[in-house]
Parts: sequence; structure tokens; C-alpha cells
Amino acid sequence: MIDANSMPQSVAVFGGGSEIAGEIVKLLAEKRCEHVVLCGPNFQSMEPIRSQIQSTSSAKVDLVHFDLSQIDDIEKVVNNIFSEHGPIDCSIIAGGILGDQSNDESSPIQVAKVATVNYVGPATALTAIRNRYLDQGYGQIIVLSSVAGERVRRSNYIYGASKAALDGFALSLGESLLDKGIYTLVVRPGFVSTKMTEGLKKAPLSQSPVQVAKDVLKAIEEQKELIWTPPAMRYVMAIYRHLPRKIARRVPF
Amino acid sequence: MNLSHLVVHLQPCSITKMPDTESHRSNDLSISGPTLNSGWGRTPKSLGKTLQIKGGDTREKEVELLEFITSNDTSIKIAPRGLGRSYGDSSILSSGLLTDPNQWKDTFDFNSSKGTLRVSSGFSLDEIMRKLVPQGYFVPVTPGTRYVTIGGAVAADIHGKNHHVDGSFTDHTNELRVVSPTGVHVLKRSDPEFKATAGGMGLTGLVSEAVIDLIPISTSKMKVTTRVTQNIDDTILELEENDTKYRYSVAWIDCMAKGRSLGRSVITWGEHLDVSEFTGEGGPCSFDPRFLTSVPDIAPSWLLNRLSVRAFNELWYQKGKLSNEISIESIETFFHPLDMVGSWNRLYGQKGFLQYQFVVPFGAEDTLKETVRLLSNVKVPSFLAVLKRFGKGSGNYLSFPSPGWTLALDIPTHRFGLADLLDRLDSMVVASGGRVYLAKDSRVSKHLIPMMYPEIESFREVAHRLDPDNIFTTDMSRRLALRVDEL
Ligand SMILES: Cc1cc2nc3c(=O)[nH]c(=O)nc-3n(C[C@H](O)[C@H](O)[C@H](O)COP(=O)(O)OP(=O)(O)OC[C@H]3O[C@@H](n4cnc5c(N)ncnc54)[C@H](O)[C@@H]3O)c2cc1C
Repeated sequence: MIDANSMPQSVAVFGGGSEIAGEIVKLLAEKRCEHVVLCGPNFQSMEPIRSQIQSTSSAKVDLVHFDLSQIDDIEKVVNNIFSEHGPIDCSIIAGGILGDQSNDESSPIQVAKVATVNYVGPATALTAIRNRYLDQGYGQIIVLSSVAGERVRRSNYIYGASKAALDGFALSLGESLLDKGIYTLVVRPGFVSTKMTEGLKKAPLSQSPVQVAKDVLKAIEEQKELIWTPPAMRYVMAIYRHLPRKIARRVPF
Repeated sequence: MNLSHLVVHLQPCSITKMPDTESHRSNDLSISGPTLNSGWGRTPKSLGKTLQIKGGDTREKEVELLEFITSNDTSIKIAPRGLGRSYGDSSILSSGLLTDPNQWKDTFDFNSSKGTLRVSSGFSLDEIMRKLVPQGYFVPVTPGTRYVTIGGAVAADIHGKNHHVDGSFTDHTNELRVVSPTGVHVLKRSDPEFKATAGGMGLTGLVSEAVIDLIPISTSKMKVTTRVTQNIDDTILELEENDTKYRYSVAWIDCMAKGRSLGRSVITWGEHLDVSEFTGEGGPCSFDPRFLTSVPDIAPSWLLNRLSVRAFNELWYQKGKLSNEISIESIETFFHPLDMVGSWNRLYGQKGFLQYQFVVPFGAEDTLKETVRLLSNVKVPSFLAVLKRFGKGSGNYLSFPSPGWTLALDIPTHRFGLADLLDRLDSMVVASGGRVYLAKDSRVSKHLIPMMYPEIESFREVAHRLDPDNIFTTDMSRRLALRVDEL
């Protein structure tokens, strides 16, 4: 169950290999969370996250095979997760791929893959989760979006557009669930140093997964619906979003 | 090869489903909803349906409810609900069925020779007082609001300003009728089933009827003694020295005062006014409380900020200083001042609030002072905290009151740091042998429950005997694993 400070007792991570989600879960497990279900395509990337969670808490951690690119299976797998491991108080949508913009630009199938894993899969999963929550009678959703979706840029438009779609979907899904008591938080991190961004040039205001997780915990407790992390990113993006296209094109990140 | 795990895969019905509205329709039984429900603090919330039992009297409804429970599979869960004045999640049940107190209002047998009342569980103390105060009788225990049902009063084993003298509500309850999946049980105070039901937060079954003692009064007025104290030590001393002289006693602490004024309070002591001292207009027992106003649902959460609350508290304190040491007040202004403002819980806005209430044993005054200090330090606006001395406990397994100091205060939720602060206070409370009040809770850690309520094992055992399939549960019970099946 979820308490009056919005702290869940059970969490499912869709995209269970995500380092950011792993840090969020670690913090939740220091509060009330005692059962974690990591759902992802690759057990090898989830194992270290499981042992990290278990090194700082007594939470039970289960691993479940789940693939955001297999959209025909998503509903069934989500339903199974809820029936076997439920109730699930909190669902974190954390899966995603960065792709390789310069290579993918000319590859229709690669573009489809990024769009599927970053948007179609998560939107499918969110819809299945929504249905389970309405039956369960409560629940909360955390969606890891990105500032890249706020204004899609030339330098990574394939990724950015998929995040823009997810961001819009999640915000409106959240609105549609407000009067059902189901709470949704959309998180827009700036540049985060993780495996996914290894080798990329660090952007300004870059931060660690732990910092993102701390901001997320605070937002959950305050029941915010949308946050930027670091918080200053909100103002950077507000300006960037309003730059005329001609100038925006020349901003070097 | 063990195939049992596959069966779960193949059975879609093992997913939690809202109870079906259509399939359970009989003439006198229907299910409505789902609606979004919460306690008085408006957080947490969950979707649940409501079970309606129409027609007949309370005895007939008992049988109908029992038939409904035993004829359905055990996946249908039920939470008894009263007027939802508990603050947290004790009277809500996600994806389950809530009962409706309006359907439990048939029996009202007042026995004037014994001074007892046999009453259906859905009647509120407000309704009882409106009927019986003009006849010269008062309820044995009243909380800070009249809008609680008999069912809720029994399930939380509520206390009032007279606890140090009279004990809690079920100390004055002689008989309970409880509909559990194992039958309709008639319970006397010495029965283990009574001890599990009184204070048992609705988890042993639905209380359908109770017999309670009333107290005779000769007027509907209160003779009130007011004293203002300078700080927490002063408050503690005053209460220790003078409490026993009065039937009703409570201190309102200004939690926004700091430094040397930390813990400054307005203490009020009261007695029912004897008719020999009555001078007012109208009959001595007239009773007809009204609403002054109601708060609309659009009140924004910033309405209550530190400044507005500080101003209110200051006003209250100054008023206490000015008031005559002895005054005559009505029942409603002495016991239920907040009831004059309808839906005042909306003042805290959509995000809601909680009430933190604990008791620590006598001797743990240092813990008490430290909690007042910590609560006064936080950057949350808090109205007055209520401080009182409890008398003897009732011996029920999960009843809250036990000899010591109880402090209660409302705090707006969804503020960063509140969760950690309250966890810290919990540790101090548990370390000194105290506990928090379940009827107010919405956030305590389940791991502390066995330390706060050492008799929880007896409770679980008896609840399991009455309801072996765990049909009666609540969101609170699931959160805190109060029932044995939820461990
Ligand atoms: C302004 C205010 C002041 C208060 N002051 C005090 C106080 O001074 N002292 C005090 O002790 N409490 C106080 N309370 C708390 C209140 O008295 C209790 O929470 C009480 O239980 C509420 O009764 P209710 O009818 O609203 O029940 P609900 O809040 O609807 O339910 C409370 C519990 O009772 C159970 N329940 C309800 N009906 C039945 C039934 N028929 N059979 C079995 N179980 C049932 C529910 O399952 C739940 O666990 C106060 C609350 C408010 C809002």
C-alpha cells in the first residue's frame, strides 16, 4: 500500500536494468518499500542492481523477463507481473535506448526500434498498468522522460522525438487518472552519467543517477506531477524552448 | 515436475478485480461505485465499491450480510465504514466493498430505568445527543467531533477529555453484536472476541449493534475552568496537579511558539453544569447545534501557511488569557468546536493532511518535551496540538489509550522531510514504551506495530478465528499487516 507521504511498499521497474531506477528503488527501500520487481530483457544487467538493493535493505527483489520491443507480449507480461507479484504500488517506467543518431538517420528499421523501445513499448505498458491500477483501486506511476523531449534537437532527433511522445503521453495519462486517485510523476532529467551515456561528451548541468534519485524521492513526497532534475534544468529548457529555430540550431549541445 | 506456478499464468482471474456490480444484485443487496475514498485527512485515497443492504431491520440485515459473505468466494473483501472521521486509511479498502452506515440505523432502544441505550452501529453520536441530551442523558465518551458512528467509536475504542476519569468508549459498552464470516456473535466485555473487536479497527467483522451506558446530566451546559500556561513545564505541572479535580480536561498547546514560550498552552477543565447553577434562557437541557459555515472544495493548499496559522494560534492564546477563569459553555463549544465549520478538512487543500497522535507513559516527560520541541521546529504550519493525560487502559488488544501523556496534532502532508521527521518521532515514542493511534495513522512503519501493540498476536489469533478467510480487511490493515494473512 501507499502511505500518506506517498511512500510505496512494492515497486516494479519496467526497464529493470536502469541505473537511475535502481537508485530510486534503493532510496524507496530505505523508507517503506519491501518488495521490488525488476522487469527487463537482460538478467545480467539487472543482477548487479538486485545485489545493490539488497546490500542496503532487506527488500525482496524478483527479476522478470520483460521486453519493451515485444509489444504484442507487453500486456500479458504486465498482467502476469501483477497477478504473481502484485499488488504493485508503484511502477517506474525506466526502459529506453539512446540509439546512434548519425548511423540511425538513414536506417528506417533503427528509427523504428528507437521509437518502439522509447515510446510505443512504454505507452503500451503504461496502458496495461493503468488498467491493473483501476482494478487494484490505487497505484502510482513514475515515468523517466528526458529534457531531450522538451525541444527536439537536430543532433539527436530520433531519441528526442521518442521521448517527446512519451512525455506528452505520460503527462496526459496522469491527468486522466487524477480523479481516480492514481498519481503520476514525469521526470525530465538533463544529462546523467550512466552506462547509456558512456563515451558521450558531458552536457552542462550533468549529474549522477544518485542525484536524480534524490530529486525524484523529494518529488514523490511532495506529490509533484512534473520535475526537472537538476531543478535548474527547468529554466534552461524554458529559455531554450523559446529560442527561434535559427538560433536554437546553433546552440552547441 | 511441479506445474503449480503455471496455473497462475493461465488463470487471468487471479488478477485483483473490482467486485462485479451486476453479479451480486439481489432484492435487498446491491453494490454501487467504485468511488474514490479516503479518511478525514484525504490521503491516502483508493477506489472501492459500496455494499448496500436495504429493507428489514438490523437483525434481518445481519442475516443478509452473513448470507452474502458465505455465498461468495473469499476473494471478496469487506471493510466496515462509519462516517470516515478516522484520518488515514482505516476505513477504506481498495478494490473491495465498504459498508454504508446509513443502512445500520434501525435499533434505538433507550432504557431510562437502567440508563442504557441499545443502538444500531450506524447512528452517530450527533444523532444520539440530539435525541437524548434534551432527555437529560449524555454519551459516556465523546471525541472532538460528534460525527462519528457507534461502529467507529467501538472499532477505534475512542477516548475523550474524560479518559483520566472514565476510560474509553468500550469501557461503557456492555454488549456488541458482530457479523463475522463465522456467524452473528453476541459479545460481552470479558469475551476475547470483544477484546479483539473493541479497538480492532473493523477487522473482526461488522459491528451491527451495541448496548452502551449513558450518563445522566441535569443541564446541557458545561462549567469550564480556563488556565493559561507559560511553557511546557508549566503545562505539565498544571495538568499533574489539577486534572483529578475535574471530569474533563485538555490542554491546547501552541506549537508555533518557541524559545521560552515553547509549549505554552490554554488548559480547559470542565464539568457538566448542575441545574442548581443554571440561569440561562430556554430549557436547561436544550440542544440544537448548528453549522456556522462550510469550507468549499476549492480551498487552495497555501491557505494555511505559517503566518495565517501563527496568527490563529496567537489569537487563541490571547483569548485564553482574557477569558474568565470560570465560564459556562455549551456542549458543542466545549467538546466539538470544529464541528461548527463543515468540511473543515478541505482547508488543507487537495493534498491533504494527517494527524500525528501518540501516547508515552508517565515518566517519559522528557520524550514529550522533545517531541513538542521538534514539532515546533519544523517548517510546517500546525494549529494547536492537544495534550492530555490518559487514565487506565481498557485491556482490549489494540486499544490505544494507556496511562500516560497523549499528544495529537494536525500536519499538512506532502511536504519534504515530513516522513523522516515522523519516523524519528516514532522511534522516540517506541523507545519510551509508547505507541501511535491507529485511528489517526496513515504512515507508521509496520515493523513498529508489534512493539507499539504487544498484544497484536492475541488480536490476530481471535480475528482469524472469527474470520478465517480474511474477508474483513482495510487498506490500513494491508499496509500494517494487522491480520495474520497479511504478514
Ligand atoms: C475533528 C476530529 C476529532 C477527533 N477527536 C477524537 C478524540 O478526541 N478521541 C478519539 O478517540 N478519536 C478522535 N477522532 C477520531 C474518531 O473518533 C475515530 O476515528 C472514529 O473511529 C471515527 O468514527 P467513524 O464513524 O467516522 O468511523 P470511520 O472513520 O469510518 O472508521 C474508523 C474505523 O472503524 C471501523 N468501523 C466503522 N464502522 C464499523 C462497524 N460498524 N463495525 C466495525 N468496524 C467499524 C472502520 O473499519 C475503521 O477501522 C477525531 C476525529 C476528528 C475528525
